[in-house]
Amino acid sequence: MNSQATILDELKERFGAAVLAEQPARDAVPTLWVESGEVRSVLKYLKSETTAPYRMLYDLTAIDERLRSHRDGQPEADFSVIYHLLSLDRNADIRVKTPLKGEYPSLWTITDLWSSADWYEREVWDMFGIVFEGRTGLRRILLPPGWEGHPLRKEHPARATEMEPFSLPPERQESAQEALRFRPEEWGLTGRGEDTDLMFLNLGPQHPGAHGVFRVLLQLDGEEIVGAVPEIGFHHRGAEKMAERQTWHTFIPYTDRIDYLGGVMNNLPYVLAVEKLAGIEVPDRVKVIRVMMVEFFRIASHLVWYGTFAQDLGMLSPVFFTFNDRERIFDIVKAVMGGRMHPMWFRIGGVAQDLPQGWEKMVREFLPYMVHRLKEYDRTIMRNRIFKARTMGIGSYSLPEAIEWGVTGPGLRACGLAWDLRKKRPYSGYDQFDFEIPTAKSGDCYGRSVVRVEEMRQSLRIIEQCVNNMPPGSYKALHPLTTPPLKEHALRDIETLITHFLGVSWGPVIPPGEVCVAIEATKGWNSYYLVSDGSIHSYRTRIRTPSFAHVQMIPLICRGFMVADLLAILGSIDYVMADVDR
Amino acid sequence: MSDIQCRLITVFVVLIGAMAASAALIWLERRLLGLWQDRYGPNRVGLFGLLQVMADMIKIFFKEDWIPPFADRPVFVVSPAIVVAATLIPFAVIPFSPGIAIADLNIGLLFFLAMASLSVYGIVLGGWSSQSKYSLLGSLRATAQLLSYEVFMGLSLMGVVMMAGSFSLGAIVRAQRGMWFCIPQFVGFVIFFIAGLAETHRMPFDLPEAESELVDGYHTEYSGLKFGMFFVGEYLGITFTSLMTVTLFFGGWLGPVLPPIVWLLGKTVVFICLFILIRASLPRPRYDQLMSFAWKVLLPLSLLNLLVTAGVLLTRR
Amino acid sequence: MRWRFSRVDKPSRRPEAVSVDETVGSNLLLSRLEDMVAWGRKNSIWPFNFGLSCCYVEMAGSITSRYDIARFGAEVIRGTPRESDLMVIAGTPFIKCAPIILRLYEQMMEPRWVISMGSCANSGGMYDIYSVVQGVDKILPVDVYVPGCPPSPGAFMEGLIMLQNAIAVQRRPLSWVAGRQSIARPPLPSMKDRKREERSRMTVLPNPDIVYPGKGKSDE
Repeated sequence: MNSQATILDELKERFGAAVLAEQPARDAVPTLWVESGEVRSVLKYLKSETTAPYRMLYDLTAIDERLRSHRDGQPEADFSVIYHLLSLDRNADIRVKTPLKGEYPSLWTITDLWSSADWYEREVWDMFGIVFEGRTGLRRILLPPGWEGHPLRKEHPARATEMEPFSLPPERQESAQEALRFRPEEWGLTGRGEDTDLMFLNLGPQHPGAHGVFRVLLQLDGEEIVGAVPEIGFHHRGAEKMAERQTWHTFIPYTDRIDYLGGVMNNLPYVLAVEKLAGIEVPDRVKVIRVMMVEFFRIASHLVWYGTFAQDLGMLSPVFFTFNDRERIFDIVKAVMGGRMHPMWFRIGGVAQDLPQGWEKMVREFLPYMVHRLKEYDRTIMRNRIFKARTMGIGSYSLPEAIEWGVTGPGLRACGLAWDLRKKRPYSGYDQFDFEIPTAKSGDCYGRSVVRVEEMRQSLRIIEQCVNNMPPGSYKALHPLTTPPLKEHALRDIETLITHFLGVSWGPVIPPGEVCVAIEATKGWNSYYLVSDGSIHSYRTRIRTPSFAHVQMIPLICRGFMVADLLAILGSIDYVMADVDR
Repeated sequence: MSDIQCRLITVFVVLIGAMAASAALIWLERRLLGLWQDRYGPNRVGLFGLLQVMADMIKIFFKEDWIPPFADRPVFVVSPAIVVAATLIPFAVIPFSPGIAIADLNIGLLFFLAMASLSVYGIVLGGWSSQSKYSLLGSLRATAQLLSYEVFMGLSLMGVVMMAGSFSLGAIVRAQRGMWFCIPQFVGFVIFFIAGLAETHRMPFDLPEAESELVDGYHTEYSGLKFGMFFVGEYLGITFTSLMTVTLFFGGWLGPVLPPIVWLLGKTVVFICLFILIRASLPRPRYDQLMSFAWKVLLPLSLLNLLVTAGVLLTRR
Repeated sequence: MRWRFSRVDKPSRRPEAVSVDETVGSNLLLSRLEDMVAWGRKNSIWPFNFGLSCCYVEMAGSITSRYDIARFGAEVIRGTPRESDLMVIAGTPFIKCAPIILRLYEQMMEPRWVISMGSCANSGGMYDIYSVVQGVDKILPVDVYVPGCPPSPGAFMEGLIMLQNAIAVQRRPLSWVAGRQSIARPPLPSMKDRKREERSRMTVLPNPDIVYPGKGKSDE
C-alpha cells in the first residue's frame, strides 16, 4: 500500500495538472487519470525514470464510456484508453487511464516506448476505432481487412444473426483471397538482401506446424529467416463482446474456450474477478477444489504441449503417450466435473457441485503413475541428443527483452527469474501450498521445455497436498450473489429460492466497479479486467491473454534461424490461437 | 525351359515380389507403429487389417488425378516414374539365392550406386516442377542431403569390396562364408545404414518432406496415383536398402538348415523393422546439423575405415 | 437491416443426386468394379491435417491410442489437401477464415468429404457473434455433422464410421467418358431417430455423486 501511495504522490507532484483524477479500484491497483497529451511523458517516467521502474507493458486497452452510468469521480470521456504497467521489482501494478472525446478520437502512439505496444494499439484501433498517431502500420489485426465498423463500440451489433447473413459468392471469395496476398512493401520488407535475392514464404494460415490458424510470412535467405511478419485474427471469436451480452453467470462457458487447453483454468481468473467485485469470500473447500482442478488442467495442457512439441521436432511417438496420460487426467476430470476439455465447472462463489464419492482413490492412483511417466519422458525426450541439438540456443531471449515484450509464465521463468503469481501474489489459497518455482537460465527453447516439464512435477505435488488436506465444508459460499446458490437450500428456503430464480433467469447484479485479477495460467498470466456498471452484464470485459504477447515476439526471436527452428520456436512458445485472438 | 524364359520368370517374380513386399511393408509399418505407440493400427479390413494397403491402393488409383496449371507438366508427370523405376531397377543385381539373380553383374555394386544416384532426380525434379515454394525447399534439401550421403554410402562399401575382392554381389556374399562382414566392417555397416536412412529419406532424415516444417515437401502438389508412386517408391527404397544391408554385411542368403531365400528374407525383415523402430523413436535433426554430421563425422570415419581395412589386408598378405 | 429469405433445401454446390437403387445393378461387371472402388474409398479415408480450434485437439485425440482411428485406416494425416480425402472442419469457422477454408476445400481432389465437427461448425453454436460464420455449410457442402462442444473423440469416431458407411453405398462416376456423370448418394440417417429406441429404454440415470471406475460420466 505504501509504495502505491508514494508512486501516486510522485506522479502528482511531477506532472501536476496533467493528473486529472485518482480512481479507487476494487483490486487496489493505483489508477490514475492523465490528460491525453501528457500520457506519453507519464508512461516514459514510469518506465525509465522512477526508482524500481514499471518495465512491463502488461496491457493496453480501451473502454467505450459513452453508455456508462457509474463513473463517479472520473473525468468526462467518450472513450478511455488504459495502460496497465507492471513492475517486477516492486511487485506492483499501475493503471494509467486517459480520457478521449469525440466519435473517433486519436491519441499519440507509445510504440517508441514499448515495441510490444504495436499489436495492442492495432487491436484498440480495430476494436474501437481509436486512432494512434505517429506510427505506421495501424491496420486491422483481428478482423479481416475491409471490415466495416469497430466491434467493441457499443453501437456495433454483437450477434451474427443481427447482421447480414454470411455468404461467400465467388467474387467475394476472390477478393478475400486477393486481400490475403502478401505485399512485402506494405510491411517495409524487400526482396533484395545485401548480396542476394530473398524469398518470401507464406507459412499458414493452414500449416501442419503452426498449431492452428496462424500465419507467419517469412523473408528467407535460403532457409535462413531474415524477417518475419506474424498475422493473427483468424481465430477471433469476439469473447470480449460476448461478455457484454451474456450475464455474469452465463459468460463462464465462454471463458473455458479462451485457452482451450486450459479448461477450468480459464474460469478461475474470471470468477475470482467477479467475486472480488461482488465481495464474495469463498469457503476453504472451494479454494482447494479449484486449485486441484486447475493444476490438473495445467498438467493436461503441458502434456499436449510436450507431445506436439516433440512432434514438431519430428518425433513420432511421444504425442501418443502424452495424449494417453491426458486421457487419464480427463477420466478424473470427467468423474469430478462431467466434462472433458471445457467443463465450465466453476461458479461465482463456488464450484458447480461437490466432489463425487471415490475421487480420492482416482487421484491417488494417478499421482505415482504420472511421476513415473514423467521420468520416462525425461529419458526419451529431454535427454535425447538430437532433441537437445534442436532446442538449445534456439529462439532465446534475455530477461530484459522478455520484460519489454510482456512475456509471462514459463517463458519468463526460462530466463532465470523465479516469478510466479502463485507465489508472488497468492490467490485462491496458493500460499498454503508447498511447491517450488522451476526456472532455467538460458531463455531458449530448451529452457522453456525444462521449466514446463518441472512445472508438471510441481503441479503433482500441489495435487497431492490437495488430496491429503481437503478441508470439509460447503462447495459454495452463502453470499446472495453466489450463482446459482446451493440447490439444497433453494428447495427449502424461500429467500434462497428467490435468489436462485433471479440469478438464473435474470442474472446476478454485480455492484459497479472495476477489477483486474491475474492468475498464473498454463501459458502465462491470464487476467480478466472487468468493468461493472451495476447490471447483469459486464460493461466491459478485457481478457488479457499471455499468448498474444508471446506471439508478437516471434519476429524478434526467430531472426537468423532456419525454417526448421521456427517450428521449434513456435512449439516451445506453446500458444493456442484462441488464446491469442480470443 | 529356355534360358530366356527362366530369366523372364525371375524378372517377373522379383518385380511382383518387390511390389508386394513394399505393400506388405506399409501394412507392417502401420501395425508396428501401432504396437509401439500403445494402439492397434489398421485391423478392420481383412484379417489383421492385411487388406488395408489394398484399400489404400484402390482409393489412390481412383482419386482425381490432377496436374497444377502452374506446374511444369512433362517433368511433373515423369518424376514419380523416375523414382519408382530407379528404385526398382537395382533389385536386378541382388542375389536372392545361390545362382538366382536377374543379373549377377560383376559390377553389381557400382550399378546399385549409380541407380541410387538416379532416384535423386525424381525427387529433385518433382519438387522443382511443382512450382511451389514448399516443394522447392523440399527438393533443395533432398538434393543436398541425398548427394552428400551418397558419397559415404559409396565409401563405406569400399571396405567390403576390398575384403571380398569383387564388385559382384554374389561374390561378396560368398566371401562372407567364414565371417559376416558386419564384424570386420562394423564401422562401414553403421555408416552404410545411416546413409541408407538418409537416402530413403526416412525419419529421422525425412527433411525433404518434413511434415511439420514443409507441409509435405517435394510432393506437396502431387495427388492421386502420382503421389502414390512417390509413396510406394519410398517403401521400395526401404525394402531395397534392407536387402542390400543384409547382402553386404550380414551374409545375404547364408545360413544353416533353412533354404537360402528364407534366410535372406528373414534377415531383411529384421532390418525393415529396425527402420520402422528408428522412425518411431528419433527426432529429426536440422538440415545444417544433418549436413555437418555428414561431412564432419561420417566422411572422416569412412575414410579412416577404408584406410584401416586396407592396412590390415596388406599386412595379412 | 435487410433480411433475405432462402429455402432450406436449396440445392447446394453438390451435383444433382441420383437414387442408389436406380443405378445399382444396371451393369453387373461395372457394379462389381464400383463396389470394389467404394470399398477401397471407405476403408482409406485420409484426413487433412486441418484444425481451427478446440475441436481439433479432440480430433487429434481420436488418432491417439485410446481411440485410435487407425483401426479404420484413417490415421494417415496428410499435410496437403491434394493428398487427403476428408476435411474435418474441427472448430469455429470465422469470417476471416472462411475464404481460406473454401480454398483448401477446393484444393482437395475428388472424391472428397467433409465432416463438420462440433457446434460451431454445425451452426455457429454458442458463438452467435459478429466474427463467426453461422455454420460451415454456408460455404461448402457437409457430409456428416458431429454434435458436441467439443465432441469427444468417441463422437468424432462415430461420425467417421457413419461417413464410411455412407461412402460404401455411394456411387461415383468411374470415368469422365463412360457411364453416368452424377453421384448417387443415399440420404444420411438421423442418429436422433436411430437411437431413440435405445435411449428410451434407459431406466436409471447415472448418479453424478459417484465415481464410476474406468468410466467417466458424460462420454460413454
